[in-house]
Amino acid sequence: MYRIWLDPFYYGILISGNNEIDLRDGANPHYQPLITEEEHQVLLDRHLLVNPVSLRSYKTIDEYDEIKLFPNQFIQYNGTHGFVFELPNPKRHRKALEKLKVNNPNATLKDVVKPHQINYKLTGIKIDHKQLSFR
Amino acid sequence: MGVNERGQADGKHKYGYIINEGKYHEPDPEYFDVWKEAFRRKIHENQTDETIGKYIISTGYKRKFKNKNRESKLNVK
Repeated sequence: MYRIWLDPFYYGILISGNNEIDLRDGANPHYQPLITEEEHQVLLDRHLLVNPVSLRSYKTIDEYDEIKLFPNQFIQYNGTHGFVFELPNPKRHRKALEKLKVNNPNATLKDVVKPHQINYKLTGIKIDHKQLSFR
Repeated sequence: MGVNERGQADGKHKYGYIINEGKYHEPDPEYFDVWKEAFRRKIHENQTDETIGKYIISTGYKRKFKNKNRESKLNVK
């Protein structure tokens, strides 16, 4: 039954696929919430206390590991969806790395990727029809 | 604009609600209060799912389907 308790619909958020609609904004004029958002948070916190989100363990070495600030899924949205590392235009960085390796064979991605180019994207869900991300 | 973007039901059943002719969820006049009480017991008394399930079943709760002959009871797992 935990899926019932944790469903945000019961306080006013309808999630379907990648869409998230706030029913409290009048999207559904017939809607009445069963609980408040604060009560939902109580249930969510209680659930996460007993079932902590496990970080995916990678068996293979990811070439981005050295430039990741956090592991994938470390930052969570609503306790159900995680942010995943993304490097915009990786081809450009690989080319820059190849050039750099001519003079410095020990160069790594860390030497060519600048902090502002590191991006984390929320996967599996869109908020107000937009894909959330941060740098 | 898709069905869900208008806040309409996408076919997934929500306990304590029925889907009206406009395909919007609205409180089930029969069982909305039952589910409200179930949530209250879960949140404020931290009762087990089994206990709450028994309470819901004791109210005679049955999920409603378009096909009036179809019935489903709550699965307390």
